[in-house]
This record gives sequence, structure tokens and C-alpha cells, in this order.
Amino acid sequence: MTEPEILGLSCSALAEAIRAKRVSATKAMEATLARSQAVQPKLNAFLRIDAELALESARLADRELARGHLRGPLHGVPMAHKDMYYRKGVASSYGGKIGPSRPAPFTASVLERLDTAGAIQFGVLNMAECAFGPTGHNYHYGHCRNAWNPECITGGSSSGSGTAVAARASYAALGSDTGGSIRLPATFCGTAGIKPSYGRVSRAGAMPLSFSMDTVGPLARTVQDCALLLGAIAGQDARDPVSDSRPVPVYVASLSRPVAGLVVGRPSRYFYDGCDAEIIALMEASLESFRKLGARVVDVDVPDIDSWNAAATMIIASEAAAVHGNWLRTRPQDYSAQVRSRLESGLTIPAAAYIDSLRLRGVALDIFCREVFSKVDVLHAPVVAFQTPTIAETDVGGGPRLPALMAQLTRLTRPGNFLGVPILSVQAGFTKAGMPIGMQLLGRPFDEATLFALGHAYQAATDFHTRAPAL
Amino acid sequence: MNQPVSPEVAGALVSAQGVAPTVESAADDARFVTMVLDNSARAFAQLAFEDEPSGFAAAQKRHAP
Repeated sequence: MTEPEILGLSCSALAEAIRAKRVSATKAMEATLARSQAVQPKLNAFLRIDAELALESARLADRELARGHLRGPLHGVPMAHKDMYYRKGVASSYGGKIGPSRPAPFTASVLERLDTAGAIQFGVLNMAECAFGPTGHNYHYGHCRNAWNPECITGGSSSGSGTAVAARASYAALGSDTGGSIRLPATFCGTAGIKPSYGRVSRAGAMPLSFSMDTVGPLARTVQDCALLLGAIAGQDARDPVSDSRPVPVYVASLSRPVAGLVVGRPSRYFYDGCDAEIIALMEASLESFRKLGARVVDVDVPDIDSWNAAATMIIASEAAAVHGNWLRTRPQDYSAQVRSRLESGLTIPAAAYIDSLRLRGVALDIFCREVFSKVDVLHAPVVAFQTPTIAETDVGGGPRLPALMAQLTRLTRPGNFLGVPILSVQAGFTKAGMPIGMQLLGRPFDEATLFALGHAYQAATDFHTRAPAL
Repeated sequence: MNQPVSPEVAGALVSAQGVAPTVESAADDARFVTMVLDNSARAFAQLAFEDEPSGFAAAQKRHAP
């Protein structure tokens, strides 16, 4: 296979090609490293590339396969991840100056599981400082740039994950999602991404931001890839007390489930308030695709999400302020003005309001399931209500425009974190400016399988996920 | 309707926790906390006496397929 052919494969297809010995892990790694180094000056996607170590691991993977030993379903697949996952003895940056002083005491459970599945990590990716920013700006390591237009934001906080996957510089990448941090870069960069149910994937060894809301999941080129990766990393973990004990379905098997007869809900309010006309048209087109696949599309009224968003904001702000409290007091100069400002605001939330926010979560989930999931299998909505802004337009630092920008960017994503439901982000087309736009599919708690079935059927009927940016 | 939090109160809360606010950041903090308290007040008023944080995990289990 030629280098462009190798780089054009999805994660699933590359894993299959390596298993079938149509391409070696070493050749795949060489191609990936060359691509990564070529796009890095334009995108600033990587914070570190470990070329020699990765090549050594790839050669070992080839020797193992030659002996008939297959590590797992991701044997030999090159990946880089958001720089917030612990690798024992190595300091993650957390996208800022706080992380580098803390060599990791153990390896994150998700990295261990990907290692066991055979994936080879070749680097770490840029991210919003402390995963506390939805744009992709980074005032310590340089802003991350969108592969479809380097003047535009990537979305955050998993900024490098989004743009590296879009640029074909990584076959997949771990992100994390506390208020939209997988879905925003997935939509702005034109990748798929799964924010799993709260508790589905272990957070042990993942930098904490808000322990009540943090979720870990992959961004990848296809829904099939997301299913493959989630299957590799999901499941109970003794090191994460909130990880759920229910068995992990074989998600790749769910891809072939029929979608005819499924009911897809279109929210009659909130998600389309003030929405850009091109985005509405793209959402309508995607709903029409689901109709053609045999799904039934119905309008559904959604509950009082504004108040839930405020409660979610209080939980994240309070917990982030608590997690960073010691450093905020002793090393305030090591935070950017934007993150310091947001952390400081968290110190003003009254304890009773924080606890009320937590009390409201179960009530809200009951209401949402009663009013939405009693009528539909999946809720379909845009990820954002506006077209991709530029880096300059959203460069507000820590000033007075910050809260409004944060609220605007996460308005449609944060409610899903509050509810803890699984949400799949899927490419839904391109704007006239040539920028990708995604949809989000929200499912019942722990029903990722239905989302994968629907998203995979959609991608089988469309080609948006096959398009790559011209870099 | 909740009363707005003043920059002086917000700044005092931040200072009391060992972090030094600026005049500008205290004003931002005040706007932020006033906004989120206002926007959540209606939902909080409807919480039942018995609702507690563990209700979330229970609801997740209840609604999983």
C-alpha cells in the first residue's frame, strides 16, 4: 500500500489491514509520523511526538504478529491522545504549566486498555489548558488550528484530538468531555466522537476537572471506529469508584442492528433557538437521511434546559475550583488569565447551590427520560447553533466577554453532561464556507449501542466522513 | 428574584479562600454568580425535601435499557 492509501484508512480498516498483513505496523507508523510532522507547523496539534519509541513499538508489534500473536483489535494502530492521561513516570502537561511538575504515579486505565488492545501511542496532543476551555485557544503552547481552515478554532477542550484526526495525522485520539469537549472539536473539525454515559469509561489516571461530570471517550474518523475504541476502553474499573458494573456490549456488533423503525426526536425548542440557517438546513438534511433509512422523525418537546445548564455550570465551576484550589492559591501566575478567571469564579458558588445542583441531576434525568425517551429512541440536535468562528474572534482572554462566550459555545452540549447520557457526534455536512458541521445524537443512559447503529447507518448512506481537508 | 451579588461580596469570598482577586475579576465573579443563581432558582425551588445527590445514580439505573 502507498503512504496516502495507508493514511486514508479508518482506524478499523487499518487494524484489519495490519491483521491481514496487507500493511505492517511499522509502515503505518512511519506514514503517521511523517504526516504528523508535516502538518504540525500549520495546526500545532501535537505537544510531543515520541518517534523513536513509537517505531520501536511498531517493529515489536510486527514481530509479534509474525509469530502469530495478536494483542487485540487495535494491534499496531498508531494513536496520539489529549495530554491529560497519565503514563507512569511521564509528566502530562494538562495543556498548561501545572502538569509538567507532576510525573504520573501510574498509567491511566484507558491507556492500559488501549495498550492491551494493541494500539501504539506515538505522541500527546494539544488541548485547552486544564481541559477548561471550549475554543482550542492555548496561551501556553500556542493555539490549536483547524485542519479545514487554520484561521478557525478547533473547538475544545480536546482541540488537538479533533484536528489531528481530521488531518489524518492520528487514526483516533482520546478526548474528554465535561461540558462538550469531545463534541465541539468533533463538529468543528469534522470527525466522529462519542461522549459515553457517565460511569461507562474509567476516569482513573485522567486529569480531573469536574469529577461529577468528567467523561472519557474517543474521537475518530468514523462511527465504526468510535464503537471499536469504546469497546476497548469501557467497563468497570476498581480504580474508579463511579465506573459502572454493567457488562459492556459488543459495540461493533451493534453497528449491523437495523435502524428502520427507530424513532428520532427533533427538539421543538431550545436547541434551535437562534440557530444559523445553514446549520438548520444541514440538520434537516440529516433528518431526511434518517427517514430514508426507515427511521421515524417526530417533534418532541424538551424540558427546562436553561436552568439545568446553570446547575451544570455551578457543578463544574465549584469542582474545578476545589481541584485547583491549592495551586490557585500558591501558583496563580502559572494559569492563563482565562483559566484563572474561571477558576476564581468557582470560589463564589454557595455550598447550598452546589448541592442543589447535584440534587437536581437525578430529578432532571427522570424528567428528561419521561418527556423525551418515552417518545423517541434518540434525540437529534445540532452541536452548536453558529458557524465555526475564527481564533481571533473568540480570543477574549479572561475579560468581561468570557462568560457569554463560554455559555454560547457550550449551550447545546452542557445539558448532556448534566444528564450523564451518551451522546454521539457525527459529521452532518459542510457549510458554504467549506467548514464541517456535526449533529449530536443523545441516547438513554448506557444505550451507546443504539447511537452507534444509527450513526453507522447514516455514514453508510453519506460520504461526509470520507472527506479530508486539503493541507 | 434573587438579589445580585456585589463585586465587594464576591471579592471578599475569593479573598477569604486565599486567592487574591483584582477589581476586574471581582466584578466578573459577581456577574457570574448572580447569573447562575438567577438561572437556576426556578428549578431549585421545585426540588423535593427528600431529593439528594445520589438520586442521579439511581435515575441512571432506572432508565438504562
